[in-house]
Amino acid sequence: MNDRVSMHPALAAYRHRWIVIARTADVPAGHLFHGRLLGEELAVWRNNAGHINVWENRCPHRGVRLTIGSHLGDQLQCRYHGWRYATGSGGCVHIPAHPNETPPARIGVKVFRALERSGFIWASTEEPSSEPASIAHLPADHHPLRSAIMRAPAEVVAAALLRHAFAPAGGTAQRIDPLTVVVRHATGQETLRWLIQPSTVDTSIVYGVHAATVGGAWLEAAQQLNASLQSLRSTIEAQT
Amino acid sequence: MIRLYDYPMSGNCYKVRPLAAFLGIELALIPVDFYPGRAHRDAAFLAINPLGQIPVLEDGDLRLRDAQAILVYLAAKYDGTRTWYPSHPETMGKIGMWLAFAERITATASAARLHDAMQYDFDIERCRAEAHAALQILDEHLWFAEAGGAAWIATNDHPTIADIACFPYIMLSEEGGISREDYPAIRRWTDRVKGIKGFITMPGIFPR
Ligand SMILES: N[C@@H](CCC(=O)N[C@@H](CS)C(=O)NCC(=O)O)C(=O)O
Ligand code: FES
Repeated sequence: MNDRVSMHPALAAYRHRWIVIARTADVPAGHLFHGRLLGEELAVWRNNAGHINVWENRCPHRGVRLTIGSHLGDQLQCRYHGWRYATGSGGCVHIPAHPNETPPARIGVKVFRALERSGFIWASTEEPSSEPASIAHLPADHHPLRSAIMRAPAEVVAAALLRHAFAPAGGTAQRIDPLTVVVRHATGQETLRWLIQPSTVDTSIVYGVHAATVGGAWLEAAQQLNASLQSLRSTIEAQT
Repeated sequence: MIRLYDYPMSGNCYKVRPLAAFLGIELALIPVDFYPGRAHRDAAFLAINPLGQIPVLEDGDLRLRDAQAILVYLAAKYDGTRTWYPSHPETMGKIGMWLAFAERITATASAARLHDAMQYDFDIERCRAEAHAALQILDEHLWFAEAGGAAWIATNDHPTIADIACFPYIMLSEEGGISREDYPAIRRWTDRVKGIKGFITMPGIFPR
């Protein structure tokens, strides 16, 4: 748990990008979401005001996962020895063994850049070059789909998404950036968008966005698209 | 008083304790030295449950084995509001379905934990693979339940015994080497279970 592995070269290529790490709905109030960014484990949580924190999932004291800790509103408390870390900075604000001392300023959780837009949470390990291109031009009225975790590198997943025909949202697929595939109707209107999260070197998570269907049919469409994505997952995993 | 043959580290025995707490039922716990004593295989215990398994519940002349059966009984008998086991045919059918599913989680995730923690001789890779297959099914179910406005396994607004029965071995899965990282909808649901008023823990399960 304490071993710190340096980033795999295949993942390092994405270091300066904003990468989708969760849906907004994956991190409800009070929840400690266990995520991943380019191989690193994440603890993702909201403070009382709803501000999102994307932290390394590792207590600076003894390396215990912060996601098994307690959400205290504006602080996160480690399960093991009760050290507390502040929203925003990740700085240590309380050490139960020394209740009357202010913890040294150098003690803090590693914090990642985070951004919440269009129903998704994005993070970056290093200074990102620009806003995530994949955020731009999301269909105004869209529905998130159930994400799928695939045991395959992001590159393989992107190529497979490009080739796969997704009923009931057919159209022409185009890869608009290394981690985004957009499907457009013959009329040019976007019907589907896939955002790929390279969570480790050989595991990727695919998040989907479906243009709103008229009426209340979106849940059925989401179910069909989920089945379609899961079957793609089996195909990909059988090949890798 | 209602008696429960119990072992503190058993997830199946644990299923009974939170429901009893939610319903305000006091239980007399009769400890069974499951590990390393194997007291559940003694002649004395086999006379109580010929299957040699815990938990067993005794209420007056009634003796019940199987955690799911015990949940059904306690909720039907002692929950005046009938929210934990609603007397609505479709909901009862769904609850029965997920109680059977809880047994599948026991057979896979609990078996993996017995292998890792108590040296049971099981095919560990197979236990883990089947546990993941079960978790995948539940995660998908819960995702679409949430999308349709339902917070619980078999119901919209109030948890039922199906939630209680599925919870323990999912929450203990890491003790059998089964990560829940890939199941975000399950993780949100386990948070909701922990948030039920009066929730109690067992060793290996932290409060919220
Ligand atoms: N179907 C039973 C299974 C109970 C069960 O597997 N109990 C374990 C302890 S957690 C046990 O007694 N195992 C001993 C054995 O099966 O030999 C239930 O749900 O209560
Ligand atoms: S490991 Fe977190 S407080 Fe000690």
